[in-house]
Amino acid sequence: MEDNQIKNNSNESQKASANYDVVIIGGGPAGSTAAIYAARSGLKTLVVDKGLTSGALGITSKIVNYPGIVEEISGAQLVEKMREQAKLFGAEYISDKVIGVDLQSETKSIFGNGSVYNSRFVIISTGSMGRGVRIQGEDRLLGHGVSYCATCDAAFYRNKDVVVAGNTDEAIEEALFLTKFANQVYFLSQTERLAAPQELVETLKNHPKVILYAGTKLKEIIGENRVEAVLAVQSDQHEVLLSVSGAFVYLQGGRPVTDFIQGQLEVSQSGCLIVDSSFQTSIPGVYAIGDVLCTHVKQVVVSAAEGAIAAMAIEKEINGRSRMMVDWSEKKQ
Amino acid sequence: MNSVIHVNDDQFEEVVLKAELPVLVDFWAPWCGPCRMVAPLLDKIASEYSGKIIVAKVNTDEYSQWAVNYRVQGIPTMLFISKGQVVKTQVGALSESGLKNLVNDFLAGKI
Repeated sequence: MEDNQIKNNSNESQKASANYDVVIIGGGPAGSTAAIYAARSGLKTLVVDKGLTSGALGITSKIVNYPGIVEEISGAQLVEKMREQAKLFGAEYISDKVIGVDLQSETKSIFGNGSVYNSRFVIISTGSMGRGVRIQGEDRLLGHGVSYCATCDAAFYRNKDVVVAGNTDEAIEEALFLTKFANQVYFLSQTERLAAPQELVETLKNHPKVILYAGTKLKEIIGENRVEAVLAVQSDQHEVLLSVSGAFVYLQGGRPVTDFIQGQLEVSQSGCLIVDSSFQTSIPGVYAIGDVLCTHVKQVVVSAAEGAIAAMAIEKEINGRSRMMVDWSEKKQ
Repeated sequence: MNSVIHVNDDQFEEVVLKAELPVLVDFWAPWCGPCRMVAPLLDKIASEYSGKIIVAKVNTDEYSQWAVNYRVQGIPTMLFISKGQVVKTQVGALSESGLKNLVNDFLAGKI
């Protein structure tokens, strides 16, 4: 039964493998604004995003300086409004985690955990919440109990105990997926509050197989040849040792999320993606916008502006214009 | 031109462990995104390195015995096997150049 469910999911996501004019990786303010402009100009647009609260804006509790939005609004609410606007113009959103890309060919392939997406143009707007430092034991036990993909590996943990470390909706979704197989899922959130929609948090908290440790930091993954336990530290500095067979890690940091590019794009000496004035990278047809660029000023309005510039440049390329088309509506006389 | 060989639990010993040529064996499942990413690269390796290496695949969804034997707990896991012995384990997808570097090192006896 459980296996059938997975296969059905897999079949569903296969349907999404159609060709697009532009695939946008990351649906924060940069990616969603690009989606608004691309979809409005008639381009078949797909945004692949791993969750509403996975980015920097998702954890920003209050935005007060976004022009035109006077009322107090959370980052997640603002980005949700942008997504709704993009969808109104025909942009599609798919929840999937991009794990690799093939940017060399004319048709670019974007590999997600759920499916493969093909398009002529790609916009990278994955933000800068990538991880730097690894947990002790993590690299050594990767593939021997340490995993970053519950969809891939959950079936190996049937009737076993596992730990999930993270605090985003992505981490929660993965934990809930694991409950279909695992005996017990320990969920370690470094923060007291989870950065996810309340409904999802409640589902996690109320799940009989889940034990939530809020304000608890994963410190070490222990085991000789395979994961045997994890060591975590609670906010009151008490250490907890949990006996588990699997450790699923969805932690975040402050680095540009570029690992899925696997060296296909030129970077500067300091490791930053190189882009031109229209945010095109070293490969024609591939753009990078928003916080993933290290030189960028980390403000929502700047990310949004970069999204508009990149999408308009793509529209110009596709329609063979020498100048970007100005998009405005004049009042009819 | 050789292509990837799909092996089941019973064929594994004959095709992989008793092979004269070095073998790259990939443990995968149909629902695994990273496995789908590696699949075309493995096809390429099988064809470009034809006669030098055998590329085999085991669908862990249907055949789990050897995945259990090798303690595979995440997919894709690629084992580089020479004369029945695992000389290198690669967990997770990697780029075409990364995979080719590994294969070249494997064939040159550097790993």
